[in-house]
Amino acid sequence: MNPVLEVENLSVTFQYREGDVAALRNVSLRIDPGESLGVVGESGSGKSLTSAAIMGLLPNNASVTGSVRFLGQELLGAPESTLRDLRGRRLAIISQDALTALNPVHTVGAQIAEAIRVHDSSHSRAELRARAIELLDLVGIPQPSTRVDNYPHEFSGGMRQRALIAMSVANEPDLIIADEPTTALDVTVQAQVLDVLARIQARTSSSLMLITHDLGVVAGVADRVLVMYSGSVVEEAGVDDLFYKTTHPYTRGLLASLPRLDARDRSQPLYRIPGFQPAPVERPPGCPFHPRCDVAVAGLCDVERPLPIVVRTGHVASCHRAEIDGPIA
Amino acid sequence: MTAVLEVRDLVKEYPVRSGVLRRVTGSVKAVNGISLSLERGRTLGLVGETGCGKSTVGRCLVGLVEPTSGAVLLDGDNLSAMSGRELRAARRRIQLVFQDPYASLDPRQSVEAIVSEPLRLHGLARNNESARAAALLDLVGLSSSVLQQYPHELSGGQRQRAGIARALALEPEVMVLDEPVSALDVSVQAGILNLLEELQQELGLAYVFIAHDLSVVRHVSHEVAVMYLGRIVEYVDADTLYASPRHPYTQALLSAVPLPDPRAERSRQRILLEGDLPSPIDLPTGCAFRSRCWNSTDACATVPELRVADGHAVACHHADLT
Repeated sequence: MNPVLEVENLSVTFQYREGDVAALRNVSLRIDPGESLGVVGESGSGKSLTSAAIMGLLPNNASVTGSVRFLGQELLGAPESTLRDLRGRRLAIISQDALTALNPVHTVGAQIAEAIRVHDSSHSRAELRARAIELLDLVGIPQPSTRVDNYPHEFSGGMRQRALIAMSVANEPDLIIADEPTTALDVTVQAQVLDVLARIQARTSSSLMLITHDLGVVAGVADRVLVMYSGSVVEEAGVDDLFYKTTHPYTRGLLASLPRLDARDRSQPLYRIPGFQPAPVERPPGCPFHPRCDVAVAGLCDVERPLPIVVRTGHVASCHRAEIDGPIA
Repeated sequence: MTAVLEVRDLVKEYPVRSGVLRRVTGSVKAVNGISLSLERGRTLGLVGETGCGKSTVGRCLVGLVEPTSGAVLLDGDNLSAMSGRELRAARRRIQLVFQDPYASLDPRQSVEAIVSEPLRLHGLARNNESARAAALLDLVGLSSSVLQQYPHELSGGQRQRAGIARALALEPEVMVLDEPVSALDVSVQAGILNLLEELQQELGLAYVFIAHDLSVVRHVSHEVAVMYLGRIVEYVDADTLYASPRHPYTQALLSAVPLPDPRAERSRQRILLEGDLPSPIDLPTGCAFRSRCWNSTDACATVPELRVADGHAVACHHADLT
């Protein structure tokens, strides 16, 4: 099966007067048709930067190396006209903040129609309006034929996010990149939005790249998961392997530090990963996680940057200990 | 055991203005008759979604917002009946920790000045301010080297620790924690939650823990009150609430929380609520939840009372309390 998206050795460096900052280092990933990939990490891990680099939406002082192939076509270095044609048609993005993503002076219906017309001008106004109503209905907006004429401020937060989803799937894209699509929402609204996303994905068989800090959301949505730390991928696995055969010490620390709704014993304090995630300029030599790691090997982890180790089929961890200790049963 | 904090029938109304002249045309009850009780060394979780009034309750407790009616009692002393010096002295005993450690610390003051400001304002510790500030920082797990630093030089977790140290300066009996960890990454959040637990054990503090994250609330709370549109809909000890929620809103809320466990996620039955939260200006008559409730009947046209059986309080006509 040909992948929808294949990213190899993607690195992003920002150039400042004070020097270069390597924000993203050798990120590789692949998404197959219909597959959902979760990308998790804390603030500053590079997960949003990865999606911006894929979409070609980086500021001018960023230099990008590596390769981003979408449906077999190389996007890095591709002319802006090619990218513009792909964005919003084959490649859609759903951002975190639906209020700023929607234009306040146009109706929701007009904005959905615009998303269709910009790539295909053959439709009449009536056709576009009918399609906008159909899409609003699809994402569960009540009374779509009246709501289509509302402005964004007349929608609640959850409805705005759903309208944004309607807009992004208007052209039945091959890949939807959703960057923290539910972070600003209450939990019952989050459940509604994730449900809509799952139904749309099943209907249009598009692939999904879901960027989030919430391991619970990933557990429910993703087929495969990528864990990022300080600009690199530290672990990649099928969702079950990631949660039940967790290999990288950072992933293990993250899971142990989560308070659990389903906890049996609450008397135990939560695990706390010592220290902080380093800023790119303060990144230590060797493994970027070694100063916080409870199983780091002196003379190895603080010297040599670990390469990705295959611990089982489809499960990769960038950790020296994974190589020494072997796979977790 | 007597309660260190008691809240009786708290109401906070805000005027609704409309038209060019901004005339008052109605009112919104942000908090609509809430009663709570909290013992020393215990944590009460106050949960609910955006706009349910949980933060307004917190602000009423510490006196940042003047309640429209109702009483707040500290160790039996009615704060609502006090004024002037007496009220100022009583206020020392209940302190607030804010959500956003980036916005709640003065960027132009050093950590030492921030932490010792409450002492200065209340005329305490005139000579040994620095020593007291250092001791407070030590209590929250910060080294005294940050005393001369400014908030922008600290990480998010360190800032929240400084905010907690400031709240502890006046040796309060009750701390109101308004979303104290929701701006923090999980690995940092764990450190703050552990710290709060240690402080409670060491100092016998009582916490009102306001949060929207039900997993965090479960971890820290002894009792939990669930709010919906200004009212408490369910109020019971934490274990009971999470094991057998009785109000349909609590059931929906709990079922919506994503679990970091793929197998559990796949086998889960989610209750998806229909529609959106009604506007507080235009509430449904009767039970505020009935516009989204799958159990609602004609009986729900009247406001359900908070009924108690075996210490489990539920405000629902259809909740089985036997």
